[in-house]
Amino acid sequence: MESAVSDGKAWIAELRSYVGRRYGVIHAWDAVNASMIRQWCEAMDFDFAPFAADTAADSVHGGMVAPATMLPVWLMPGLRNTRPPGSDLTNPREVMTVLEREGYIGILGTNCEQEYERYLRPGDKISTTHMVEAISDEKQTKFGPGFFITFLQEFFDQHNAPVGRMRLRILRFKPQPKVEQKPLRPSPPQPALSQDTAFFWEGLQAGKLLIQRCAACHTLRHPPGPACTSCHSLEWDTVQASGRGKLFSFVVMHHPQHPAFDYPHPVGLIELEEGVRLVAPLAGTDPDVLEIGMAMEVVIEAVEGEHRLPNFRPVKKG
Amino acid sequence: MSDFLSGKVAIAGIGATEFSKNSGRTEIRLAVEACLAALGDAGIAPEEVDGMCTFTMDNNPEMDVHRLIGGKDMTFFSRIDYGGGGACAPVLQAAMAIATGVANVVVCYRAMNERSWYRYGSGTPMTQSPTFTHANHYSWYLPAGLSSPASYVAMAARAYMHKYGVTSADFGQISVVAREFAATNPKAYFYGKPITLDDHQQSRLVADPLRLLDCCQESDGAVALVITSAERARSLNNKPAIVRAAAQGSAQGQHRMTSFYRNDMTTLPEMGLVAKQLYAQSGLKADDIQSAILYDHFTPYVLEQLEEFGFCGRGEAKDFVRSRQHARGGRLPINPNGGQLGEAYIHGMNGIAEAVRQLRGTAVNQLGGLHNILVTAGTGVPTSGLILGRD
Amino acid sequence: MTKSLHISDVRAGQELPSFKVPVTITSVMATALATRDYQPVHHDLEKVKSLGNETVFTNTHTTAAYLEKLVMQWAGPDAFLKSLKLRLGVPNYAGDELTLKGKVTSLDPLTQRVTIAIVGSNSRGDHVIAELVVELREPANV
Repeated sequence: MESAVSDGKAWIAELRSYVGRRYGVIHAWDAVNASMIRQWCEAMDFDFAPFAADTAADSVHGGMVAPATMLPVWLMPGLRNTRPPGSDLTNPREVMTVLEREGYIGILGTNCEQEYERYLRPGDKISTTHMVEAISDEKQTKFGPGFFITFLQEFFDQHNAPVGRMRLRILRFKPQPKVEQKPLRPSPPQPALSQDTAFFWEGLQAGKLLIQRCAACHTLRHPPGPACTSCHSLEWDTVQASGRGKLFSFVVMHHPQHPAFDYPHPVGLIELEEGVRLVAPLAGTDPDVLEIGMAMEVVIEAVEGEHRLPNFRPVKKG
Repeated sequence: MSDFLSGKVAIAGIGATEFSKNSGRTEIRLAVEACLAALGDAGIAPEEVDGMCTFTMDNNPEMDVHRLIGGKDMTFFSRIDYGGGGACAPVLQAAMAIATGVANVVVCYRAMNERSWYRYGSGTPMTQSPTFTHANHYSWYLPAGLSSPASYVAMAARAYMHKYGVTSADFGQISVVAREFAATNPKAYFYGKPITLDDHQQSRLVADPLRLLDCCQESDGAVALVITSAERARSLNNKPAIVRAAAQGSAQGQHRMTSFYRNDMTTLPEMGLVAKQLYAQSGLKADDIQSAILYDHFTPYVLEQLEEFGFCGRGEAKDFVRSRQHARGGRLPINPNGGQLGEAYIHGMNGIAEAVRQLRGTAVNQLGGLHNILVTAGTGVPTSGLILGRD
Repeated sequence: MTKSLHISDVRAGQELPSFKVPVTITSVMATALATRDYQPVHHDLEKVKSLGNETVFTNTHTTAAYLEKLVMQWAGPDAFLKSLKLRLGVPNYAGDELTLKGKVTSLDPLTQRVTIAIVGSNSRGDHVIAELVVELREPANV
C-alpha cells in the first residue's frame, strides 16, 4: 500500500523542475542485426520463424524481423556506458542524482509499458529521446518512503519515423532498517463507517464501548442510527457502557470460517447492563462453558489500523 | 375483513426447469425456460403477458425476460426485496395489478444458479462503502465472525430452544419429514434419499445450534407462475388455484436476518402480521387450512411459523412435530414436495408451484381432502404469504 | 510452418498454453548479456548480496521477452505484438522457477486485436502481472 507523505522541503521544487524535461537524440551503437537477434533468441530459448533468417521469408513479414521487446535493447548504453558520435551527452536520468543526494538511494523498477509501431528489420538504425514524464508525491512504500519517476522513451528509425515508445516507472526510496515483526493474523472483516456509526468504532479505538443515546429523551440504542425510534429526535450523544452484561444468546461458528478467528468460534448476543444488546465475538472462551444468562464482561482490544468489535468473556466466579 | 383481493385472481400456470447443483446454462435461459413452461401450462400466449414480477435478488431483468419469451407491451413490472422473504410477494403484486386493471397476465419468476455460480451459504461479502445502508447493517455482524444466513438464524434459535426447551432433535423432525416427501418426489434433488433423525443428529455443526441438515440445499433452477383473473383462469387448461389472500409483513424492530433487539427474540412478528392479514382477507382460520408450504431455509423458523399461524400455541411446535403432525397423514402435512430441504432451494417459488399442484390434484405426494393451502416466504426478514384455495 | 491463430478461434476467458522457465545463474547472466544489460545485480553474486538480495535475478527486458514468447507462441508467426504493460512484483531469483500463465481478457473482431492478461509467478509470489495486446492478421499469402 502506498500513502502520501506530506513534505514541504525546498529540494522538492528542484525535483519537480525535472517534470516535462526533454533530452536530445541518442543513437544506437549497432544497426538492428541478425546476430544480436539470434543471440537474444538463444538466451530466451525462443525459436520463432519471423526472428530466424532461414524461416522468416515465409512469414507475414516476408523477411527477418527483430523481437518486439528488443526495442529498448538496441539503445542500451553498454559496458562502457558511452554513446555513439552525434548523440546528446546529457544524462537523461539526471533527476536520479537529486534523489540520490537526498538519500533516496534504493532503486526498483516497478512498471514498464511498451508500444510498437512496426517490427524492426535488420539494417534499421534506431535512435531514442527521453523525457521525464511524471514524478509522484512522496509515497510510503513497503521499502520505505520514496518517489515514483516515470520516464518516457521514444524510438525512431533512420527516416526519423516513430517505431515505438516505452515508459519506465522507477521507485527511488530511502531504505528502512528491517523491523522484526511477529506474523499478524489477518484483520477480521472490517466495518463500513458512516456519520451515524463512526463514533462507535472510534470509541473502541480509544478503549471505550460507547452507546448512542437520544439527546432528547435519553433512550439508548444499538445498532446506532440517525434517529430515535421513540421520540424521533435526530439529536444524539453517547454514553460509555460499563462493559458488563449478560449472555442473551450465542452461536458457535464452524462454517464459513474467516482466518481472523480460531474455530469453533463463539459469538455472543450480549445484553449490556445499560439495556441494549450487541453482537460480539467471544474469542478465547471455551464454547462448552457458555450458558444463556451468564455474566459477561468486555475486553477491548485496540489494534492499530483496524476496527474490531469488542470481545466479551464470562465474568470469573468468586 | 377486506375482500378487494380475495378470490379475484388465480395462479393459472406453473413452470420450472429441473433442479440441480449445476444447470450448465445461464440464469436468463433458466428464467425463459420456466416462464415459457408456465405459459404453456396455462395455455396463455407469451404475447399476452403484460406484467412481470420477481425478487430484487434475481439477476434477470423483467424487460429482458419479457422480450425473450416474445412479450410485446408490458404495463407492470416490479421487484421485491429481502431475499426469500419476497417469495409470495410477487403474487401479491400481480394480484394487485390484475385486481386494479393495471395488468391482465402477470408472470412471476425466480431463476438462479445459486449453487454453480455463487452460494449464499458461504457468507456475506463485506463491502466497506458507507454509502450503502446494507454495508452498515453487516458491520454489526461480520466483524464478529457472524457471517452466514445460518449464523443469524442460529442466534435466534438458541434463544428459542432455551425458552421452550426445544432440542436439536426437534429441528431434525422438520428435516426428516422434508426428506421423506423428497424421497418420493422424482423432481427433488434428494429423490430416493430419506434420512433418519440419527442422520440429522450426526450431521456436522455449521453454526451451533444449527447442523448441516438444518440448512436447506443450494440449488440451480428456475420456477415461474402465471397469474391472471380468476374469471380468465376458469376458462383455461387447469383448475385455477384461487388466491384467497396475499400479504406482506415487516414488524417493529425489523432487521434483515438479525432482529436481535426485540424484547422477545423467540417469535416472528413479521410473520404474525402476515398471518393476521391472510386470515382477515380470506375469512379463514387455522382450522380451515389442510396443508402448508412453510419456508424452510432453516428448520427452527419452521417451528416458529407453526406458532405464528396458530396451528399450535407458543412453544408448542416442538410437541406438534414430535407427534409428526407435520408429516404425511398428520394434522398439517407441510412441504409435501420435500421443501427447500429436500426438493430444491429456489427461494420459495418451488413451494408455491407445489401448492398449485396440490390444489389441482396433480402432485406426486398428493394429499387428500385439500381445500386451502398456506404458503409462506422467507423468515427472519420482511416476509410474505399466501392462502391458495380450490375454486 | 506453424499455423497462426485466427480471430474466430479466440474466446474471452480462453487460457494460453502456460510454460515454466527454470531460472539459473547462467540463464540470468545470458539473458542480461543478450539484452546488453551489465548491471551487477544480474551477474555479480557478491555485489548483489551486499545490496540485500538473495542472489542474482533476471532483468526487466528478460521478463518482457518471456511475455512476448508466451503470447507469440500461441498467436503464431503471422501475429503482431502491439503493446505490453507490465508491473513487477517479487524478484525473479536464480534457483527459482518462473511459471507464466495467460488468459484472453478481451478481443475486438474488427481490429483483430486480442488483449491478454498474464501472471508470472515463482515460489516467492507474483513476479510480474502484465497485459499484452496482439493483432492477428490474415496471412497475406492465403
